[in-house]
Parts: sequence; structure tokens; C-alpha cells
Amino acid sequence: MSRAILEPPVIDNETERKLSETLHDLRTPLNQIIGFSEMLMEIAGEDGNRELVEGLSTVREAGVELTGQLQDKNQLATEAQPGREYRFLAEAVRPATNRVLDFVESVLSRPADGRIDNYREDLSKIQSAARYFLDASKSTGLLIQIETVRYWGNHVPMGSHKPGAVCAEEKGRVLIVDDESLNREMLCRRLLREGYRSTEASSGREALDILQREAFDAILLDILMPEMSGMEVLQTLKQDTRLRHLPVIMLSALTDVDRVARCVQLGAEDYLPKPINAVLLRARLGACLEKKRLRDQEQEHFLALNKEKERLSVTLRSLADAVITTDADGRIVLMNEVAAVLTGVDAGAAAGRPFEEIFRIYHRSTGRPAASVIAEVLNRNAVIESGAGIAIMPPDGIERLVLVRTAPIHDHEREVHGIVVVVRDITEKEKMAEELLRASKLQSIGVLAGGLAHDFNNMLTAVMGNISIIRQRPALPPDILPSLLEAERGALRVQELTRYLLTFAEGGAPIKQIVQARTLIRETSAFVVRGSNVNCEFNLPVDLWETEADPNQLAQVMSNIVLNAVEATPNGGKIRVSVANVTAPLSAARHLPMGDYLCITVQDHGTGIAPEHLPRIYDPFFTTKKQARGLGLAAAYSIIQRHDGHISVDSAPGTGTTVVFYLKAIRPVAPAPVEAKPVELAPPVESVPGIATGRGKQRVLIMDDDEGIRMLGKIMFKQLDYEVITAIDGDSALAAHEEAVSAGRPFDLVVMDLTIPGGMGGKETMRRMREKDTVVRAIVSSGYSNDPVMANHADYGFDGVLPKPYTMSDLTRIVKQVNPA
Amino acid sequence: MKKLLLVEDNEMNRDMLSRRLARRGYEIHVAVDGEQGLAEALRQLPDLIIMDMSLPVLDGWETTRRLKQLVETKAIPVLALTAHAMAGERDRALEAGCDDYDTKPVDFTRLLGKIENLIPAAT
Repeated sequence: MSRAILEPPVIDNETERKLSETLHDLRTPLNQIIGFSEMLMEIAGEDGNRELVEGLSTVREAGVELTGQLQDKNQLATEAQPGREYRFLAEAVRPATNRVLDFVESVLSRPADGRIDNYREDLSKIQSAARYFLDASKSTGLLIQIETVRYWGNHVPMGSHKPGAVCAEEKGRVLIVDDESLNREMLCRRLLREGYRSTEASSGREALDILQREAFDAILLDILMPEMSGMEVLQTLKQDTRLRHLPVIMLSALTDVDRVARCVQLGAEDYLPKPINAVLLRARLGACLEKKRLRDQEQEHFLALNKEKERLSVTLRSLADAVITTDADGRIVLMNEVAAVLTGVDAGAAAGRPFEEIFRIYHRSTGRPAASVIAEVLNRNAVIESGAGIAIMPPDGIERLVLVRTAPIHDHEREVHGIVVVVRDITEKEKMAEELLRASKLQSIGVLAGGLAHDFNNMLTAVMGNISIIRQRPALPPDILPSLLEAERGALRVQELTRYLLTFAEGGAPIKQIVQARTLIRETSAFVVRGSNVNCEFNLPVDLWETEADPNQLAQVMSNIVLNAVEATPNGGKIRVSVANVTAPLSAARHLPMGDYLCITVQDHGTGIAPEHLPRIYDPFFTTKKQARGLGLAAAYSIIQRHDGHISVDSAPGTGTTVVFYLKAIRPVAPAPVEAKPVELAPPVESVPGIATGRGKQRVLIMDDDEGIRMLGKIMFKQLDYEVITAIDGDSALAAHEEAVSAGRPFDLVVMDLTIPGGMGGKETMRRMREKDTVVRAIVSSGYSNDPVMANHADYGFDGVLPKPYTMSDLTRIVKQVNPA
Repeated sequence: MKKLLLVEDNEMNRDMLSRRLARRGYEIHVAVDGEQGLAEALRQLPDLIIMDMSLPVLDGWETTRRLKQLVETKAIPVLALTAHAMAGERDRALEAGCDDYDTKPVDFTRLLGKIENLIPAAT
């Protein structure tokens, strides 16, 4: 159907003017019918007269319907046009006018009734307006097109066009913008019949407001409106990204070609000449909505595609693995950020380049390039996974162990059209595995070391104790003394070795206390470098946090690390020791749990550690130095593990070594922390104090399973003028104690071994003895010098501690202290 | 209470509109043609004049022009009522000095909005 046929018939100006005047005349009574019925509806509503309100609303509706029939000048004619069907206007308007008269006259004909009498006068005015209208329409002799009559005759109940009214099958939502309520009402009715749902706006402002709240499929927009013209509304819409694509059909008088043209330029979809032709409206609106539907669909696909793309890119970005896709020739198409970091090549720069050029994967052991994963995947057309021991070298120069998985991407014809490569950095995982292995190694060494150390200490006690007794002999032949000193020195070295061994032992749990690391670290380090050609440079801020640690063990760690640094700097130089407050998580120490730490760094510029030695530096007894036991770093590692800390060593031959370890820190709340005493690293052999002479004969009970110790005890205590009784285990000790009490000669002092294999040890024996005897003085002695009973002896009923091995002077000192009598 | 002058020749329209406006709390004075409208305007000095344009004796355009020339009345806003079908009537009304216009048949709610716009109730 071409548009030309749809254009209204040409009418000359004089006829048109006459027609306009006639229509104006006809509308005046309709205006009155509508106006009076509206007013009376208001009044009846206030009176609560529902019957009248309903009746008046049918009157008003009939008025609107009649106005609608007369709305479209082009539907009226003085003479029939060919190809169109007409009726006389007077006949066409009769049904609606009769509805008005029927109601009004039925009310007026009622007898006097208080409920309606007040309305009679105004109802008669409606009656006369209706009659006048009927007469006037007769006298015009006008014809009206049947289409219009049928349209308006098809009664649509009032109010059904209001916003929100829904038709059975809804074709779309239309916003009607017109300042003329009658125009809106008529459009609404037509649209409803066509299956559209419509909403009305009486001004441009209101239209823009509604558009912010509700969604529409099209807008019918009047060009000429007061305040804000349709053109302004259109301009505003086109600037709004959300509303820009909403199709707008302009409504305008036919004569307004210029404005219509401008609106089309501004982006209006189409226009409809006023008065609105029903066929045109249907056709243009339909086309408009179809276009919008297609555009919406396109937009939806576009958004879905974008969403998918975004999801993919977020997934790729959030992966910890490097992901690379290539085309079938192995040229990079896409890679994520992890891949860019691993290779140091920007994703954009990598695109189009061969995979092997960007990812240089090699065998870690030989340094030779690994076989091409691309070629292999293409060859086998299957998912392949690299074996162990391959690595890449990122631009940061820190080699990464990697696992490479490569898979072909098939198109729908099962042809390979791309390859996806996933490169996983397993360096950390391997490190963890190494650490686990090391920990289990240390654990088994610990069990062994614990047992060994205990036995060593017992034997050493016998050796050193006896030597010390001999040395106290007054008339010692002078040539004997050097040999004795040499024997004693040897025993002392065994003692030191044993102490190292104990740090691996199960019994070597740290005895923690609050330590001010600053002092301890400074003094220990200074002590170690003393006498060497190495200087210590400290960076120890005053506001360092405290740590909870075993001060002895911490000193041991520091001295071992600093000693290593000194030994690595044979030609002299500087060692930097610095401590800092840090808070995990830290990129430098990833498996450190969250929390506050002290980070202690010891840095030297010495010879460094060969790369092949690095994996073994924590192994006990691994050493590259002559005359070294290979226990220093092993012990440091073990101690730091037990403090829930972390140690790492970074070294390169020729540039030096940096050891960093972390200890859990405590932010100080109260001032005055306990200052850790500097630790005596190698206690000098003391001169033997004079022999104590007891007042009368004091009695001592010695409990030890080792015969050598019992013998030594006897000799030593006799020198202190004690009467000595010995027991080999807890049971016999308790029996001896009971016997002594009942005999009226109780012990003044007991010395108990902590561990009796297969029998009751010192801890339990003491607990039982204290149930009966709170007076006796007690000393606990053990080869496990780190045992908690030793650390907190008072909690277990002991008055003093005597670690094995001990010399005569050690014994003398503790006995004097515990039993001064 | 705001004072409105309604100049309208059609009796039934005048009756209906004046009563509907009175129901909304306006004090209404009426005139049946342009000459009477001019005289009433001078006597009542209303807050607003609603003027039908097609009036006998003196039409709405001419009446408005004169009102706008008189010192006493030139500040009074005039709301023109024009016939819907007649093209160009509103432009002519604005040219004559009308402050706003509305079309017949009258949409009562819209008319109230325009009145409120020209003379806000709360002053």
C-alpha cells in the first residue's frame, strides 16, 4: 500500500474553512455535555449519589465519543468521494446522542425526589445541548465515513484506556504525548483496539518524567505543545543514551512540513498528520515497533556477547595460572596477565608471535630447551602434560619451576583450529614439598638426637665430674694438670655438641618469654664478631616490637647466622644486621600466616653460597667448611620452625648472602619488658670454690638410674660433708625417704634425675614425696636441659636445677643456694 | 480569595465554567462581550481574566489589546480560550498580549493548572 493513496482528499480552502466553522458549532454543545456531566459527577460524588455518578459517566462518555467522531475533519465530506463508504452524520451520531437523552430524560421524568431535584436544572441544560446537537448535525447535511462510525460506535468503556489497562494480546507499550486531552483519549482508544497498551502525558515535562520510570516501545509525540514543544522533547530524548533508540512518531498538522522535516532530521522515526488516520497509525506504528524489536534483539545479542566476553576475561584474569591461546600455527592469540608477568611480554605485543618465542621453556637440570609443546599437541591431537623438572626464566631473573598443560581446540568439524596452553608456576609448591621433607628429616634426627644427647650428658657428667674432683686434689703432681685440662676441654666440646643435638630433639621445645630482641640481637652479634676483622653495622629501630621467644635459642640462632657471615668474609668487611617490624601477609614470605612479625636480616658481602649447595644448607651435618659440624643453619632452621617463624637464605657466589628470618612479634602494650640477659656462649671454666663444711652431718638422697652418676654423686657430696644415700628409681627413692623419716633421720636434700627409663621419674616421685614432706630441699637434674620441668622447676616442687653434665663447682653452687644450712 | 473575570458570550458555557471555577474556590465575575469585559475589568480589577476570543461587539483579541494598554489593567494576566479547530488563533492571541491560552473544548483540569500557573494560590 503506497502512501499516496492514504493521503487525505484535497479540499479547497473555502470548503475547508466552512467545514471548520461547522465543526466548531457542532462541538460547542458537546463541550457543554461533557462539561456539565463532569461537574455534576463531582457534585453527585460529594453527595454520595452513586446512581447519578454512573449515569452521568455514560453521558460524559457519549459526549467524548461524539467529539471523537467529529475530530477528524478528513473523515467528513459534503459530497461522497469515490471508493469510500459514507453515512449521514445525523444518523451516525444518533445512538450516542440518544444515550445522553435517555439518561437525562429518565431522571427528569421522575416525580419530586430530594436526591435529584437539585440536579434538574443542569440536567435540562445537558438535554437542550443534546437536542441542539442533534438538530445542528441534521442541518449540516454532512456525510461521515463508515469506518469512523464503526470505530467510535464500537463502544469502549470509559477508563479502560487509563495507564495500566492491558489488552489480551499486548503488542507493545506506547506513550502518547499531547496537550489535548481529547486527542489523547481518542488515540488511546484506537491503540487499545489495535492491541497496544498506552499511557498518556499531557505535556513534554510529564512525558520525560514518565519515561524515567517506565519502559515503552514507541512514543506518539505532538509537535505543538505549550511550555515544552514536541521538538524539545525529541531533542532531550536523543541526548539520553538510554532513550535514544526509542522510536518517536511525531504528530503534526499537515501544513507543518518544515517542523516535521526538522524532527525527522533530529531523529524522529516517522510522523503522522493530524487528524490521525487510523490506517496510517496502524501501519506506521507497526513498522516502528518491528524495527525496535529487531534493534532490541540485536542489542540483546550484543550485550550477551559482551557479557560472555567480560566473564571470560575476568576468569582469565583471576586465574593464578598463565593461560595462552594460539592459532593452529602456534601463534599467540590471547594471553592473560599472569602470562604477561611470567614472560615479561605485554599481551598486546605477544599477539601474533610464535608461542615458543615468548615462552622459552627449558630443562632445569641441563638448561636445554624443552620439546615444543605446540608441535606435540598438533602431532598427537590430545591433551598433553609436561613432565617434572622444566622451568622458565622470567625477567625478574628468578627461575620458576613450571607445569605445562597443552590442549587442542577443535572447531565443529573436529579440526584443530587453536591450542590452549596453561602454564602453572609450581615453584612455591616444590619449595613447600622440600620444606616438608626437611621437616620430616629433622624430626627423625630429633628422635635420635634426643636419645643421644641424654646418654651423652649422663656419660659426660661422669667424665667431667670426676675430672673436676681430681683437679681439686690439693697435692696434684704438676705434670698431670695439662692432661686433665685437655681431657676437660674435650669433654666441654662434647657438651657443646650435645647442646646442638638437643635443639633438634623433641625435648628441645623453646622455653619462651617476652624478649626485647633489640638488645639480644645487638649483644649476640657483637660478641660473635669480636676479635675478627669484620664490623657489624646495626639497623635496630628503637620502636621495635617485642617477641616471645626462648632467649637462649634465639641467641643461638643469631650467633650461628652471624658466625656464618663472619666466616664468609675472610678478608674483612661489614655485616649488616637489621630488624624491622612487619605485618604478614608479605609477598616476600608468602606462607607466613597473617600477623605481626619481626623481620631480622643478616647480610654479608662475602663469598656466597654455590647454587648447588643452596638446597642442602639446612641439612644437619652438611658443611663445606673444614672443622665445621654443619649444624649451625640446621639448628637455626629448627629453632625458628619451633617458634612458628620462617627463615630464608638468598645467596649468590661473589655477591654475598642475605639471611632473613621472621619471628612472631607482640606490639608492646605495657612498658618495661623483661630485658633478656645476654647469654654466655662459652662459660669459662670457673675456679673451684672452697669446700663447704656442713653443720653436723647433712643427709642427701640421690636418685639416678645411671650408676656412674650415683658414684660421682657420692664422691662429690662426701666432699661437701654430706651423708649420701642413693636410689635407682622413684619407688626405691620414696621407700628410702619413708624409712629415713620413720627412723627419725629425715633427708635434708634430695637430688633427682628427671628421666628414669622404665621407672618412675623425678617429676612423679617429687609429686608423691611432697604429699608427705614439704620441708625437704629438692634439686632436679637432667640431661634434657630444655625440659619444661627444668624451666619451671618450682611448679613441680623443686627448689633448684642442676643440668647435666655438671662439675664439682656447679654442684657446690646449687647446693649452697638450695640448702644454705 | 482570588478574583477571576470570565468573558464568554455562550450562556451555557459561561454558566458551566463559572460554576465549576467557583466550586474550586475562586470568586467569579462574568461578562458577555468584549465591551462589558473591559468595563468589568476596570471595576473589579480581577487577579486573572479568562477571555473567549470569538466575542460579539468587541472580540477577544481587541479587548485584550486594550486591556494591555490601560495602566489599571495591563498587569492583569489574560488567559485566552481559542477554538481548537481554528488554525492560527493561538498565535494571534499571544500577539494580542494574552499571557497564555487554552483551547476549547475546555479540559478543565488543564485549565485549572494554567490558572494556578499564572496566579499561584498561595501568595
